[in-house]
Amino acid sequence: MRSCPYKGVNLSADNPRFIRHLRAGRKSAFNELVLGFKDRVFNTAYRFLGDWQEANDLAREVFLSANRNIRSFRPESNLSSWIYRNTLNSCKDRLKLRESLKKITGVEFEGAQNLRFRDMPHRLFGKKEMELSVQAAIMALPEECKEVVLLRDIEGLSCGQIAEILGIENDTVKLRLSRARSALKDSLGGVIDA
Amino acid sequence: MPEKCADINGFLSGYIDGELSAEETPRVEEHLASCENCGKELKRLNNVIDLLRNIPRYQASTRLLSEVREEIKKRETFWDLSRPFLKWGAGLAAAVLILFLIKLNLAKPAPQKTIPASNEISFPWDIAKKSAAEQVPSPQAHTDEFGGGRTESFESNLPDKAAAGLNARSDMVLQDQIYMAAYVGEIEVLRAFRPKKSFIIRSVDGWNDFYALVFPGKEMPYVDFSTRMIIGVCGPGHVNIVAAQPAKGKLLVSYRNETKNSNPGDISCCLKVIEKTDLDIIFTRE
Repeated sequence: MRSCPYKGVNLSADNPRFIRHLRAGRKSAFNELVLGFKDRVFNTAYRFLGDWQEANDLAREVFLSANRNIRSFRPESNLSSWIYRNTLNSCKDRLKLRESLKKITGVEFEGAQNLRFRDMPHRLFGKKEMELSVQAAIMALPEECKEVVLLRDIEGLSCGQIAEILGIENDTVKLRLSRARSALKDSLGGVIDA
Repeated sequence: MPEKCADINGFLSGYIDGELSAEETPRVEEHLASCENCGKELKRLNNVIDLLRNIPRYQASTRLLSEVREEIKKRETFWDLSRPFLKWGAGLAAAVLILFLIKLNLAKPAPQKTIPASNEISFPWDIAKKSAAEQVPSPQAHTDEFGGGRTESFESNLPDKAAAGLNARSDMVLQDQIYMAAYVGEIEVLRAFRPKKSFIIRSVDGWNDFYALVFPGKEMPYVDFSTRMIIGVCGPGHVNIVAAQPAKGKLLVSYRNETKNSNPGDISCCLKVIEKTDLDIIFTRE
């Protein structure tokens, strides 16, 4: 059995050979792209949308779109930034769809945003409740704060890379990050004070 | 003079990340050394960041790769226009066809008969082409640009288009016609025939989601986008999708525009959820 030529390659480092093979349409390169990024895409989408099934659908769409548009990817660009950008754009499209459906049907998406944990003391929380409370607080953030805090504090990207992904200034990233953390601090009051 | 807490609070996030400048860092540290409240704020912010960094990470579906591969395989047909030689070939063929049609059109005298508005289909790009003066709703304002089977494509995004259709009434030119097919994702209008009052659309991006169940009242069903799709027709008056069923390798969607039952200026959007399909969709007005 042939071994995968890209094993051990740090995909986020944008190995030029890997990018070349990806752009040339090599299946093994694309498979590695999916395997290397699927969890990152899924987690970003899940935290952004708060819906498991939707996050899985979105991950599939992001990779289908990547497969279709890989020739338009510039080799000098950063692959992980490209994937994250596509993921966030798809997430925003889905939120717009929700808004649109809400206008048409009058029914709001029932996600974690409806949960209120602000005043619950920390000691009453189990691990799952804690996660739900954080998810609810994330969902309640404005979109531009949410994407920054997800990329920085959950995905662990640098402010510089976030600026590149979102196409904004480094200082804007820091400002939005500060606002997002401050809003989370307020909404998670009871949880973090314990 | 000690700095105000409000001034320092804005720097705490950057201080935690070590992103402050050489001048800002000692300012913050000096304040923190003398202000208990800001020390507490710093601790609370650190707790928030800890919570976020320790939030569970999940694995995407183990079938994700195989599902993506399967979908790609389905789309990679010989006639896939993303293949360069086919793209050029198709472009050349389209150019020849357009020249032929122009020639044919010039050779023919202009038709004298005016077709009633109710038999026409107009599209957003038609409306955009008209000058402001021509945008007064008029049955004669639209000619049959699609009679020759021209291929058009445009990007349609259900949220934007549907929202535009439903809310931006003042920006719209109301016609006594259906003006668009709403679809989630990018769509391509393959052909539109006035005599049959039909147009065919196909999804050209990965979503493939469309509707086949009219949302009754305010109840929105859960849509599993991996197995079901969303489709909609928007238009002035009262638009209603009456059927959506596969036949002869296509998905036939018929709709009604019951303008008589609506108030002037009303716009409605009818959405349906149906099983996911790769079939071309033909919208036909009854």
